[in-house]
Amino acid sequence: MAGLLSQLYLGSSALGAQRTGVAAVGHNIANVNTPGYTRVDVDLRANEAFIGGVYSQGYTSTANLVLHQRERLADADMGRANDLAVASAALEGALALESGSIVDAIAALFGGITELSSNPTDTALRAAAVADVESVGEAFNRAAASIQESQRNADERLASMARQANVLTEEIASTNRSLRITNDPTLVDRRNQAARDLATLVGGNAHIDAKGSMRFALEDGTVLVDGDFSAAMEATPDGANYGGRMRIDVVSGARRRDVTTSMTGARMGAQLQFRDQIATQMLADIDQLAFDVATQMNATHRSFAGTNGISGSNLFTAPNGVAGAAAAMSIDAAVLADPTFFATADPALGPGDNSGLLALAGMRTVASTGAGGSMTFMDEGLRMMTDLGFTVQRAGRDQQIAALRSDSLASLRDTVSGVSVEEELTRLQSYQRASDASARVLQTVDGLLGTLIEAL
Amino acid sequence: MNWQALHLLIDDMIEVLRSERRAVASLDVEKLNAFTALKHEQIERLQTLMRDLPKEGPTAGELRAKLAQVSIEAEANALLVRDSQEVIRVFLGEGSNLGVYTSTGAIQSDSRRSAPRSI
Repeated sequence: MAGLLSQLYLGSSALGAQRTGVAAVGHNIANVNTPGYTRVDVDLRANEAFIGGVYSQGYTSTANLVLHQRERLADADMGRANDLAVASAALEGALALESGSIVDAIAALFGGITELSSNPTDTALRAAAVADVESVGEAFNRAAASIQESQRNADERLASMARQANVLTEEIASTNRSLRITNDPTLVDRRNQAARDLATLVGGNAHIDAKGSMRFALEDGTVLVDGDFSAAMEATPDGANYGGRMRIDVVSGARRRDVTTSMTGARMGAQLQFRDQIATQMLADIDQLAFDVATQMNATHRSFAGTNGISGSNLFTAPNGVAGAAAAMSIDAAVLADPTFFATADPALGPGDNSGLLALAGMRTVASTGAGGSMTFMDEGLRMMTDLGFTVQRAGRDQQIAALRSDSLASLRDTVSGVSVEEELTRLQSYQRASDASARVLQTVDGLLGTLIEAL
Repeated sequence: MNWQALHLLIDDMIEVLRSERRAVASLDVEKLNAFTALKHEQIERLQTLMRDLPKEGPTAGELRAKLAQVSIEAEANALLVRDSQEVIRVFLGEGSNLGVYTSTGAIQSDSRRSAPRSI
């Protein structure tokens, strides 16, 4: 009985292959004068399950491969946008909401100095102004700590994602192995799903080779899966090259390739971009602002005297340099211990004078003279937060686009799986012309919208 | 008045783009042609309204958000159109330029090209 069924299957698969072949020949003849046309070849394969049989991969199968690749690209884009949005929004929240922002603290300091200038000898106002100076230092410390914590979080996610990627590469390799023995379509689906999940994590692309095995490579071409072989991804702290942050390697036996800088897409690319570009730039900007605030306010402060008559003291601890200035920023120890060191007066005019306070308060509206500066201290702080906000917004937009694309690709796959080329050739050619026209109009729409949004 | 007309037009554009996406996904030629013609009209109306738009308006923020949504819909559609064109090229025997490995293992795609690497 089993033998008879095999014979029947053999006959039907061969007939199917012949039908596809006839259609392909007809297609080629119909397009003999079409510029740029490449002839269709039917991919006849030996049917390993039934000796002597042939079957056809067909057009739909090939188109599905293209669709799978597109879906993986959309998934990678969506994963990237999502992780970038989440990481940036978390940092934005930590800097702006939870602990009181740098801008708020600087504004409060200028407010306290202005109040004290109305009565420079008032001890309560003086103590409040000293507390404001202390708060500015603490706000910078918290901001630097938040950024560094966000980078550590990115490292933890990278390590976790590398482990997930290894599970998926092993699954693809093992499915490749199984598919050489059995032609089970559920295994193909499982492999496709694993490849989608892997693409969401690491980007890259997959291809089915002539033997039906999936190869998966990263964007820079580093191979993760090839047939039975799967390489491992490793995340390890690297002090020499990445300042103690995680370095991502692809490892095979004794061989190891650093892919940290070449991974730009998908979720891992997003974590790396956040850690090495967005957060790093934010920390550098905040360090620069802390350095500028401390050195410039110190310079003004040193020119005046406190109510104790002593001049030449700093308001903030003098920073050693730009790098690390935010984490180390603090009120000068002498001013903290004894608020009479808070310089308020011209040394020649005595403790009732407020010219020192007016000079310090005037810095609120003056552009910073430091390396960071063409803006006031507060505007510079706002600029940083705005940049971060734009990153969150852009990532959210990319996320929406990728989600819309991904949903529609699933519908497109349903449509394509039912298409018969022989019957629908004319319609498909019409579609190609119509979609060309639509693509041109879409370009125009986007251009116009850009102009209009800028005008509003 | 122009602001209100602009709001209505932008709402229509969002709807048309959403419908267009469904047409692309179902390879519906007739609808796609109809939407293309409709979008031409909408672009002309948009240009006219933009020309007469006053500098300030009471709902500029809302309008900006809607325009951002149109931009998202249009970009998603543009990507989807490219996806579907790729699939149709395969169907029509014109080949695909996506995800093809060369003999040395390099992978080619329309957006990402890379040299072969082995570890």
